[in-house]
Amino acid sequence: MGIKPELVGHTLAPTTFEIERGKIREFAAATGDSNPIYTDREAAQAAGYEDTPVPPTFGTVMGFWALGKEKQAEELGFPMAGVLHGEEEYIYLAPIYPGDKLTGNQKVVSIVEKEGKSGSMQIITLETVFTNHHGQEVLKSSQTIVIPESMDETERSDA
Amino acid sequence: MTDRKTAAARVYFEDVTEGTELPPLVNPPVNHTMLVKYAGASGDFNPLHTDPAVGQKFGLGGPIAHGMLIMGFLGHFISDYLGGSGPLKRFGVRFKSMTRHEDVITCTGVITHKYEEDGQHLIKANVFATDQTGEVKASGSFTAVLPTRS
Repeated sequence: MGIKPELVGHTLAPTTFEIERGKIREFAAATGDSNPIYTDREAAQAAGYEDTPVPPTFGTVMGFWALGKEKQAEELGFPMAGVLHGEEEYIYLAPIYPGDKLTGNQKVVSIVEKEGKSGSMQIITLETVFTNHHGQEVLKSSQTIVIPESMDETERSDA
Repeated sequence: MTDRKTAAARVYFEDVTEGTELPPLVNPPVNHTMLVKYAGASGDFNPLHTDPAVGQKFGLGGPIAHGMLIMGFLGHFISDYLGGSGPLKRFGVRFKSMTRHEDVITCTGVITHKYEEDGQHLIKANVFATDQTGEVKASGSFTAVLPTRS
């Protein structure tokens, strides 16, 4: 059960994702943020940005839409459901604007087996580095995923 | 490779001290529509968040909010303080407990460090997302660059 320990160091096939203005607007709205810098280029420029920037947690959009859970499931043997999100971290290296084409390289950094209150679990840390079309690293993200050992195959396939 | 300018923060380095609290952000109660909107925006379509029957089946008593929505609330809160995402250097959280429909999430924060490094003026702050009963849903910290008045 869980994913194979030898996958530590494994890098998933890189994926490229274009930053869309509408996606930034949609994401800001979904987190309740009505700051015009995320929707209006002139407001963004008045605030000192070149264009509408991406909100602080927009890296998750790149994670889901570009890297994809299906790919994680396929390449790493991740269950599609039942996993818990433990931690998320972003390191911001350079601004990200609409039209940028970002390539995400995701790597398995560590897999730790742990005994918890409700049985054993695997704690997996993934790191992703996003590079823009100028070859500049713009964002590093790190996430910790918890896979409970108790999860059985029926739960996995249903949700 | 272009060298892009990062926008200036709204607050100045001189105006903050260690212990300065950020203005809290009280979010509207979490509801089904909010979770559906967040699923579409983020691409996280796990039915635990959007299909009430699935939440029931897993014994969770109904749908639970995306952890990343709660981090998104915190991101909004930090962005309001800094004048956008530009001044951020780092932002990380740990998820502590699940959020359900009708929970009212309040974001709070306090500056813990004020320092200079490599010619930059920086602050580090702790942030918390707490519900109406005081239960912490997520906690973490961020580091940001602030402009100086001089």
